[in-house]
Amino acid sequence: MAVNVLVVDDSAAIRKILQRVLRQTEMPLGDVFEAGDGVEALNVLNSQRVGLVLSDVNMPNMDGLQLLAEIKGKEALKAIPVVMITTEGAQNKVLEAVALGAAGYVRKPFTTEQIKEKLTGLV
Amino acid sequence: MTDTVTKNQDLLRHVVMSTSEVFATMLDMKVALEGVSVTGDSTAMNAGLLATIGIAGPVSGSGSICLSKSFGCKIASRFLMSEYADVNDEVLDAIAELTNMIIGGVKTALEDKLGPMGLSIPTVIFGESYLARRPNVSERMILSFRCEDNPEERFTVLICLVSERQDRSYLRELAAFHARLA
Repeated sequence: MAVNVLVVDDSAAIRKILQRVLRQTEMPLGDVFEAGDGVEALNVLNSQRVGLVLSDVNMPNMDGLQLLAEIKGKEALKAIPVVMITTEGAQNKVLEAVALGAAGYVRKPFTTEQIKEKLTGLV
Repeated sequence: MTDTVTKNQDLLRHVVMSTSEVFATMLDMKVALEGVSVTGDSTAMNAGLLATIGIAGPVSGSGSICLSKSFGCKIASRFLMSEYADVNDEVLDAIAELTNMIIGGVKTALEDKLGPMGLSIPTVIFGESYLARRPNVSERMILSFRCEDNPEERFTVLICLVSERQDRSYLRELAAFHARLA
Protein backbone atom coordinates (compact mmCIF):
# COMPACT_ATOMS: atom_id res chain seq x y z
CA MET A 1 0.00 0.00 0.00
CA ALA A 2 1.42 3.38 -1.05
CA VAL A 3 2.65 5.64 1.75
CA ASN A 4 2.08 9.38 1.68
CA VAL A 5 5.00 11.30 3.15
CA LEU A 6 5.19 14.80 4.61
CA VAL A 7 8.55 16.58 4.35
CA VAL A 8 8.88 19.50 6.77
CA ASP A 9 11.82 21.90 6.43
CA ASP A 10 12.11 25.67 6.00
CA SER A 11 14.71 25.03 3.30
CA ALA A 12 13.22 24.39 -0.15
CA ALA A 13 16.59 22.90 -1.11
CA ILE A 14 16.38 20.22 1.57
CA ARG A 15 12.74 19.47 0.70
CA LYS A 16 13.79 18.93 -2.92
CA ILE A 17 16.70 16.68 -1.91
CA LEU A 18 14.52 14.58 0.39
CA GLN A 19 11.89 14.21 -2.35
CA ARG A 20 14.63 12.79 -4.56
CA VAL A 21 15.91 10.47 -1.83
CA LEU A 22 12.41 9.19 -1.13
CA ARG A 23 11.99 8.25 -4.79
CA GLN A 24 15.22 6.21 -4.52
CA THR A 25 14.01 4.11 -1.60
CA GLU A 26 12.14 0.85 -2.03
CA MET A 27 9.22 2.25 -0.08
CA PRO A 28 5.90 2.18 -1.96
CA LEU A 29 5.63 5.94 -2.28
CA GLY A 30 2.33 7.75 -2.66
CA ASP A 31 2.09 11.51 -2.56
CA VAL A 32 4.90 13.60 -1.06
CA PHE A 33 3.61 16.72 0.67
CA GLU A 34 5.79 19.62 1.76
CA ALA A 35 5.61 22.14 4.58
CA GLY A 36 7.91 25.00 5.55
CA ASP A 37 7.29 24.87 9.29
CA GLY A 38 5.34 23.07 11.99
CA VAL A 39 2.18 25.12 11.53
CA GLU A 40 1.98 24.32 7.82
CA ALA A 41 2.76 20.70 8.63
CA LEU A 42 -0.17 20.41 11.03
CA ASN A 43 -2.46 21.90 8.40
CA VAL A 44 -1.36 19.18 5.98
CA LEU A 45 -1.72 16.45 8.61
CA ASN A 46 -5.24 17.61 9.43
CA SER A 47 -6.34 17.48 5.81
CA GLN A 48 -4.32 14.67 4.19
CA ARG A 49 -3.67 11.03 5.00
CA VAL A 50 0.07 10.84 5.84
CA GLY A 51 2.00 7.71 6.74
CA LEU A 52 5.43 9.18 7.50
CA VAL A 53 6.84 12.58 8.50
CA LEU A 54 10.42 13.75 7.91
CA SER A 55 11.03 16.94 9.84
CA ASP A 56 13.76 19.47 10.51
CA VAL A 57 14.11 20.81 14.07
CA ASN A 58 15.02 24.48 13.68
CA MET A 59 12.16 26.19 11.83
CA PRO A 60 10.23 29.43 12.31
CA ASN A 61 6.66 29.61 13.68
CA MET A 62 6.73 26.08 15.12
CA ASP A 63 9.93 24.05 15.39
CA GLY A 64 10.28 20.34 14.76
CA LEU A 65 10.20 19.27 18.40
CA GLN A 66 7.01 21.25 19.01
CA LEU A 67 5.54 19.64 15.89
CA LEU A 68 6.59 16.20 17.15
CA ALA A 69 4.91 16.87 20.49
CA GLU A 70 1.72 18.00 18.72
CA ILE A 71 1.66 14.90 16.52
CA LYS A 72 2.22 12.53 19.44
CA GLY A 73 -0.41 14.35 21.48
CA LYS A 74 -3.21 13.88 18.96
CA GLU A 75 -5.08 10.57 18.85
CA ALA A 76 -5.54 10.73 15.08
CA LEU A 77 -1.86 11.40 14.38
CA LYS A 78 0.19 9.76 17.12
CA ALA A 79 0.79 6.50 15.21
CA ILE A 80 2.57 8.32 12.36
CA PRO A 81 6.33 7.72 12.55
CA VAL A 82 8.32 10.98 12.64
CA VAL A 83 12.01 11.06 11.66
CA MET A 84 13.97 14.18 12.57
CA ILE A 85 16.49 15.37 9.95
CA THR A 86 18.45 18.28 11.32
CA THR A 87 21.75 20.09 11.92
CA GLU A 88 21.04 19.84 15.64
CA GLY A 89 23.57 17.29 16.86
CA ALA A 90 23.58 18.09 20.57
CA GLN A 91 22.92 15.04 22.72
CA ASN A 92 20.20 16.79 24.69
CA LYS A 93 18.24 17.52 21.52
CA VAL A 94 18.50 13.93 20.36
CA LEU A 95 17.32 12.67 23.74
CA GLU A 96 14.48 15.18 23.76
CA ALA A 97 13.32 13.99 20.34
CA VAL A 98 13.49 10.36 21.41
CA ALA A 99 11.59 11.13 24.61
CA LEU A 100 8.88 12.86 22.57
CA GLY A 101 8.53 9.76 20.41
CA ALA A 102 10.70 10.34 17.33
CA ALA A 103 11.13 7.18 15.27
CA GLY A 104 14.61 8.23 14.13
CA TYR A 105 17.15 11.06 14.11
CA VAL A 106 19.44 11.88 11.17
CA ARG A 107 22.01 14.65 11.41
CA LYS A 108 22.71 16.92 8.45
CA PRO A 109 24.83 16.55 6.36
CA PHE A 110 23.42 13.17 5.38
CA THR A 111 23.97 10.62 2.65
CA THR A 112 21.17 9.01 0.70
CA GLU A 113 22.10 5.69 2.30
CA GLN A 114 21.69 7.10 5.81
CA ILE A 115 18.16 8.26 5.03
CA LYS A 116 17.26 4.97 3.38
CA GLU A 117 18.58 3.05 6.38
CA LYS A 118 16.50 5.10 8.80
CA LEU A 119 13.32 4.62 6.77
CA THR A 120 13.71 0.86 6.41
CA GLY A 121 11.04 -0.93 8.40
CA LEU A 122 9.25 2.23 9.49
CA VAL A 123 6.30 1.85 7.13
CA MET B 1 49.58 32.43 12.71
CA THR B 2 48.62 35.19 15.11
CA ASP B 3 48.20 34.65 18.83
CA THR B 4 44.47 34.93 18.40
CA VAL B 5 44.38 32.12 15.89
CA THR B 6 46.66 30.02 18.08
CA LYS B 7 44.24 30.46 20.98
CA ASN B 8 41.38 29.47 18.71
CA GLN B 9 42.82 26.19 17.48
CA ASP B 10 39.70 24.34 18.61
CA LEU B 11 37.43 26.68 16.67
CA LEU B 12 39.69 26.41 13.63
CA ARG B 13 39.56 22.61 13.78
CA HIS B 14 35.76 22.59 14.14
CA VAL B 15 35.29 24.85 11.12
CA VAL B 16 37.65 22.81 8.94
CA MET B 17 36.03 19.51 9.94
CA SER B 18 32.48 20.75 9.48
CA THR B 19 33.24 22.38 6.13
CA SER B 20 35.03 19.30 4.81
CA GLU B 21 32.26 16.99 5.99
CA VAL B 22 29.46 19.01 4.40
CA PHE B 23 31.23 19.36 1.06
CA ALA B 24 32.18 15.67 0.97
CA THR B 25 28.81 14.33 2.10
CA MET B 26 26.35 16.59 0.30
CA LEU B 27 28.38 17.63 -2.77
CA ASP B 28 30.97 14.86 -3.20
CA MET B 29 33.67 17.56 -3.26
CA LYS B 30 36.98 17.47 -1.44
CA VAL B 31 38.10 20.81 -0.07
CA ALA B 32 41.40 21.88 1.43
CA LEU B 33 42.25 24.72 3.79
CA GLU B 34 44.48 27.22 2.02
CA GLY B 35 44.99 29.81 4.70
CA VAL B 36 43.75 31.42 7.90
CA SER B 37 43.79 35.08 8.80
CA VAL B 38 42.34 37.30 11.49
CA THR B 39 41.08 40.75 10.65
CA GLY B 40 38.87 43.52 11.90
CA ASP B 41 38.31 44.90 8.42
CA SER B 42 35.04 44.80 6.54
CA THR B 43 34.53 42.05 4.00
CA ALA B 44 34.67 43.49 0.48
CA MET B 45 32.40 41.64 -1.90
CA ASN B 46 32.74 41.74 -5.68
CA ALA B 47 29.85 40.11 -7.52
CA GLY B 48 29.49 37.27 -5.07
CA LEU B 49 27.33 35.47 -2.59
CA LEU B 50 27.47 36.03 1.16
CA ALA B 51 25.48 33.77 3.45
CA THR B 52 25.36 34.56 7.17
CA ILE B 53 23.91 32.79 10.16
CA GLY B 54 23.80 34.05 13.72
CA ILE B 55 24.98 32.14 16.77
CA ALA B 56 23.83 32.86 20.32
CA GLY B 57 24.68 31.46 23.69
CA PRO B 58 27.78 31.45 25.94
CA VAL B 59 29.52 32.81 22.85
CA SER B 60 27.66 34.77 20.23
CA GLY B 61 28.35 36.13 16.81
CA SER B 62 28.00 34.82 13.31
CA GLY B 63 29.35 32.45 10.74
CA SER B 64 29.42 33.32 7.05
CA ILE B 65 30.30 31.73 3.76
CA CYS B 66 31.57 33.87 0.84
CA LEU B 67 31.88 32.54 -2.67
CA SER B 68 31.68 33.62 -6.27
CA LYS B 69 28.47 33.59 -8.29
CA SER B 70 29.77 30.87 -10.60
CA PHE B 71 30.87 28.59 -7.78
CA GLY B 72 27.56 29.16 -6.02
CA CYS B 73 25.70 28.04 -9.14
CA LYS B 74 27.91 24.96 -9.42
CA ILE B 75 27.28 24.07 -5.78
CA ALA B 76 23.53 24.50 -6.22
CA SER B 77 23.63 22.35 -9.35
CA ARG B 78 25.32 19.50 -7.45
CA PHE B 79 23.18 19.95 -4.37
CA LEU B 80 19.89 19.92 -6.20
CA MET B 81 20.81 17.80 -9.24
CA SER B 82 19.67 20.55 -11.61
CA GLU B 83 21.57 22.98 -13.78
CA TYR B 84 21.77 26.63 -12.70
CA ALA B 85 23.47 29.04 -15.08
CA ASP B 86 22.66 32.08 -12.97
CA VAL B 87 21.73 32.95 -9.40
CA ASN B 88 18.05 32.55 -8.60
CA ASP B 89 15.98 31.72 -5.51
CA GLU B 90 16.89 28.04 -5.65
CA VAL B 91 20.61 28.83 -5.77
CA LEU B 92 20.25 31.21 -2.83
CA ASP B 93 18.34 28.58 -0.91
CA ALA B 94 20.99 25.95 -1.59
CA ILE B 95 23.77 28.24 -0.35
CA ALA B 96 21.69 29.12 2.72
CA GLU B 97 21.29 25.45 3.57
CA LEU B 98 24.98 24.77 2.96
CA THR B 99 25.82 27.54 5.42
CA ASN B 100 23.26 26.20 7.88
CA MET B 101 24.94 22.79 7.82
CA ILE B 102 28.53 24.07 8.06
CA ILE B 103 27.93 26.55 10.86
CA GLY B 104 25.46 24.18 12.50
CA GLY B 105 28.22 21.59 12.68
CA VAL B 106 30.54 24.15 14.29
CA LYS B 107 27.83 25.03 16.80
CA THR B 108 27.27 21.38 17.72
CA ALA B 109 31.02 20.92 18.26
CA LEU B 110 31.23 24.08 20.43
CA GLU B 111 28.27 22.95 22.54
CA ASP B 112 30.29 20.04 23.90
CA LYS B 113 32.42 22.48 25.89
CA LEU B 114 30.27 25.58 26.13
CA GLY B 115 26.74 24.29 26.61
CA PRO B 116 23.55 24.86 24.59
CA MET B 117 23.63 27.45 21.84
CA GLY B 118 21.15 28.75 19.30
CA LEU B 119 21.38 29.22 15.57
CA SER B 120 19.45 31.76 13.54
CA ILE B 121 17.86 31.26 10.15
CA PRO B 122 20.44 31.99 7.44
CA THR B 123 20.39 35.09 5.25
CA VAL B 124 21.93 35.08 1.80
CA ILE B 125 22.95 38.20 -0.08
CA PHE B 126 23.89 38.33 -3.73
CA GLY B 127 25.20 41.48 -5.30
CA GLU B 128 28.12 43.39 -6.66
CA SER B 129 30.61 45.67 -4.91
CA TYR B 130 29.40 45.88 -1.34
CA LEU B 131 30.89 45.68 2.13
CA ALA B 132 29.80 43.46 4.98
CA ARG B 133 30.65 44.17 8.61
CA ARG B 134 29.60 43.22 12.11
CA PRO B 135 29.96 46.28 14.38
CA ASN B 136 31.77 46.06 17.71
CA VAL B 137 33.63 42.90 16.84
CA SER B 138 37.35 43.52 16.72
CA GLU B 139 38.37 40.32 15.05
CA ARG B 140 37.03 37.76 12.64
CA MET B 141 38.69 34.53 11.67
CA ILE B 142 38.73 34.02 7.92
CA LEU B 143 39.42 30.56 6.56
CA SER B 144 40.13 30.24 2.86
CA PHE B 145 39.36 26.96 1.16
CA ARG B 146 39.91 25.62 -2.33
CA CYS B 147 38.42 22.59 -4.08
CA GLU B 148 40.99 19.87 -4.62
CA ASP B 149 39.43 18.88 -7.95
CA ASN B 150 39.55 22.42 -9.29
CA PRO B 151 41.84 24.84 -7.44
CA GLU B 152 40.21 27.76 -9.28
CA GLU B 153 37.11 27.19 -7.16
CA ARG B 154 37.57 28.91 -3.83
CA PHE B 155 35.44 30.10 -0.98
CA THR B 156 35.91 31.54 2.49
CA VAL B 157 34.34 30.82 5.85
CA LEU B 158 34.23 33.74 8.27
CA ILE B 159 33.67 33.28 11.97
CA CYS B 160 33.35 35.98 14.58
CA LEU B 161 32.44 34.98 18.11
CA VAL B 162 32.57 36.96 21.33
CA SER B 163 32.01 35.71 24.84
CA GLU B 164 28.71 36.50 26.49
CA ARG B 165 30.42 38.88 28.89
CA GLN B 166 31.85 41.03 26.08
CA ASP B 167 28.58 41.05 24.18
CA ARG B 168 26.59 42.19 27.22
CA SER B 169 29.09 45.01 27.69
CA TYR B 170 28.18 46.19 24.21
CA LEU B 171 24.49 46.00 25.01
CA ARG B 172 25.02 48.02 28.22
CA GLU B 173 26.87 50.69 26.24
CA LEU B 174 24.08 50.76 23.67
CA ALA B 175 21.44 51.11 26.41
CA ALA B 176 23.41 53.97 28.04
CA PHE B 177 23.68 55.71 24.66
CA HIS B 178 19.93 55.50 24.07
CA ALA B 179 19.28 56.75 27.60
CA ARG B 180 21.36 59.86 26.87
CA LEU B 181 19.32 60.48 23.72
CA ALA B 182 16.01 60.31 25.57
